[in-house]
Amino acid sequence: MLSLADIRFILRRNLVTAIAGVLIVVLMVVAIIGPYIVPHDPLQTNLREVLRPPSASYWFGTDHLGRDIFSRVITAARLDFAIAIIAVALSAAAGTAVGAFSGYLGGWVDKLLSRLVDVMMAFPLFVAAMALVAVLGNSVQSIVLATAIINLPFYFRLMRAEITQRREAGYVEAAIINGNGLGRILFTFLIPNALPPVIVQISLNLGWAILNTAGLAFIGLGVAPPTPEWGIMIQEGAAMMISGQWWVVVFPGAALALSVFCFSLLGDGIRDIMDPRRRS
Amino acid sequence: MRHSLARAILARVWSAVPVLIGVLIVTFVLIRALPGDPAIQYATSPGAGPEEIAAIRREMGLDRSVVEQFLIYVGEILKGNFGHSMQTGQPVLADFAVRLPATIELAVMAFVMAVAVSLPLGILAAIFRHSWFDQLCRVLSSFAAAMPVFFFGLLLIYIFYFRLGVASEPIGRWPSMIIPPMPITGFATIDALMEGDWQLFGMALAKMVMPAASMAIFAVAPLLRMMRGAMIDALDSDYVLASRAFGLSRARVILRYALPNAMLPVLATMGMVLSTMLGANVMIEKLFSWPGIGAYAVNSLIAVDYAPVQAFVLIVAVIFVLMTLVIDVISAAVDPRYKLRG
Amino acid sequence: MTRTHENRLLEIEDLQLGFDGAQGLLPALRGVSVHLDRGELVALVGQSGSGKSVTGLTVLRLLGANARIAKGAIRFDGQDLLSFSERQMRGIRGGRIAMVFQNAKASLNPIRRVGDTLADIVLAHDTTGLSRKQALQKVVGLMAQIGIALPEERARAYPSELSGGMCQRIGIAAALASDPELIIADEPTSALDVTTQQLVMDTLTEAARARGVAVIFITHDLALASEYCDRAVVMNAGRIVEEGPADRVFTDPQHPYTRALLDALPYGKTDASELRPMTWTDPEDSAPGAEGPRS
Repeated sequence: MLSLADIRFILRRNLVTAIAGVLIVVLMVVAIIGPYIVPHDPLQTNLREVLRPPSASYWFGTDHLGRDIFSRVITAARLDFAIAIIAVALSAAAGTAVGAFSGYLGGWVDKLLSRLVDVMMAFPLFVAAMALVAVLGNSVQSIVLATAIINLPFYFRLMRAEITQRREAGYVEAAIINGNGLGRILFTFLIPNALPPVIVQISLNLGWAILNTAGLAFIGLGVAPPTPEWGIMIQEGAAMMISGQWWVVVFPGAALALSVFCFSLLGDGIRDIMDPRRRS
Repeated sequence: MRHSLARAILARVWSAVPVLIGVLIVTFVLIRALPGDPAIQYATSPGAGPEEIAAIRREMGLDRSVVEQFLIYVGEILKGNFGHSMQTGQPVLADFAVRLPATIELAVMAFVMAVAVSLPLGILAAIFRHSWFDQLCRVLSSFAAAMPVFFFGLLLIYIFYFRLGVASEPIGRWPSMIIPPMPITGFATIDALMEGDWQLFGMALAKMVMPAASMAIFAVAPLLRMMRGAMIDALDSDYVLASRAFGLSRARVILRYALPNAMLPVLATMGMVLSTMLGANVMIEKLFSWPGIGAYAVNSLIAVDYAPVQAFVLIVAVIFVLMTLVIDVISAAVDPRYKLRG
Repeated sequence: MTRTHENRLLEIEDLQLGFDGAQGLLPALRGVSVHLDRGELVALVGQSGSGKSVTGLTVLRLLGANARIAKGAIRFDGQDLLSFSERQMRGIRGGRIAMVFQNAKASLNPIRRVGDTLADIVLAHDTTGLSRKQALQKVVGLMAQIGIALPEERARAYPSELSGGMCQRIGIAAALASDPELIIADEPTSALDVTTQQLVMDTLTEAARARGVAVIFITHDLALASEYCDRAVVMNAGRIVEEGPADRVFTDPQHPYTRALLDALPYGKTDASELRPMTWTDPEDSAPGAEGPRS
């Protein structure tokens, strides 16, 4: 186990990762309490205050309907994070479980599942998400499910590879000889040992999931206006970029990029800490 | 030796077959699972009468078993029948034929831009490891990885079109006052060249720069990181140490020894990047009103017009499978160890 | 030390070297002095981490950027190699001093035909304006000379298509390709099985003796060293502990470390119980961090 001193040492050696981690915590807190502390109602239109540049009363300016962009950017964090976290949790849980069983059982079950995953991987992620949203219907739930499904193969492959490698390990064979059941072997011996790369994948995936959600919203799928959501806000502000009202796009865009940036830095950092050989 | 290479390549080609069949099954399930009646999607017009619908239903074998339906579906696809678009009233295949060149042209441009930027940076970052330049590349790739393509596109529009005024209007493939060349190949640049009109060629190219750059940003991070990592592995390898010990010049060691070896894993990443581009093109085409298959598919999806969506998914997946296959075959031809890995 | 010896080829004098690491400077060589005459075969013997490979790489100045030379000189044919520019070193490397590596397969470019790799070396040191085709012919001739059967076919092969022993003999051909005066062979047989070891050692030493090339043979195998070399230098923890004629060092070791090294070898023993694990530590130095980064 890591002692406090170890953690302090790791943090000092990985300043960027630590900063990314702290920023994520801040973003999470904002996502949770944000809607209660925002200065304006994110849905309140005000036709007398349309497209105002950032000012003391509207920190990030207002959009084409006079809504306060700051309030909308803050409120949107909750939805975007919630979608990403639920989707990634679903796909990590299902993907690792199926991957572990497939890798452990081997044989035709493994072959079949692996082939299925190969087929899933043949569809570019964003296109697969689009197709799934088309099937499941244009709603927030569909976005969550679609994001979960398109990320499944990563966890499946990761876990399957880890398990097939470890299945032959001495401590696993010893556990089998001692008469431990399948479930016990998987959950006490195999899965915990294979977890570190899964954690890295989760962190990286959260970033992608946020991007994916915003991207789908940008092309008009999933979250629907007037709900405050970063992708929608960018889409609504797209036309204003040509007429110079940059703030409508830049603030939600920056919030989106910052979130993704932090998650991917954190993921890279965790990977470096867990696998010193890949440290760069 | 070459004989076993041929066999390894054949085995690789063969292994794509079950994936392609799987892709067909998935898209088949997709249309069946989509809300709405598939027969209506295959009708020539939204206003098709009940008799026509019933005829299509018989023709598609919707009254028969699922397996038969699947075989009929595959048969139709092999004949090039992807149904009709309710929005355009055209066969989907015809709509695609018009739009696919625009998509490919943009994707190729974006890919070339991404490769031209990332690979040299990755190589230099590996050679000057831990230098300020390497750090800069690391920051750059982290930013690029976090940058949503559509947001980056909008930033480019704001800076280069609105502020600096150097970019052309970010809508479509041609400036509004221009009579485009005859669409012989459908590729704007090639058509312009076929008319021998360099000015048109320049315009077509200029129109592509911003959307292509937006799409390319997606690919910069994976390509740069993989190039840097693979180059570092190669530079740290025994054969590079040996070639230095044998007194080969630095340029020769890097260009003939380290680089070709480092390119092998990068080649695989290129395949992955092309795939992400096929997804990113949807957002970029929509943003820049680019008349390609991505924008067409999204517009159809929003309009609950599913035949084009299903065809889009199928075509993109098939392109992707074939692309990975081509890249694997190239690696096999370049790498004498390929057949050993199987 | 004076340079009186007419035949002296290489002289390493009081070399002290360390590696920059996270915990400061890790010493690897603590005052190593070795000399070598023209045409002489000298074995550098020691355990992993004793500094023998580091010594070899230092002569060619091939250590990484974190290596720090604190003290000492390396004189090759009277010239101080440590004062040479990188460009001057390139003429030395593979030209006048060549190297044979432990892992022969990994030290050949995996996606280049071995003949092309060898031709690269010939061309890098050629001053007579050979064409690539002529260089290839020279390489094939060289391979035939050192007893490689079917040299033309082998030259067209990739390293992955050849056995480890064959790759190592190609590695020897590579070392001979530019007619060097000194070959540094870094554990050239350690990755090979015993029968192949003999073949490779025969190839190397016969070629060296026939051409009058001096060899530094870096190994942990004292028996192999005594069989093929004139002189043996035993290293431990970055220092030289014993030096002398190879068979004398092997049969009548003076230093306790050399004796411990021999006790750990199976040669001349009739029972496994006679084998002793390597436990000897230098009483002067039991501090950790004495190990070099390479064996």
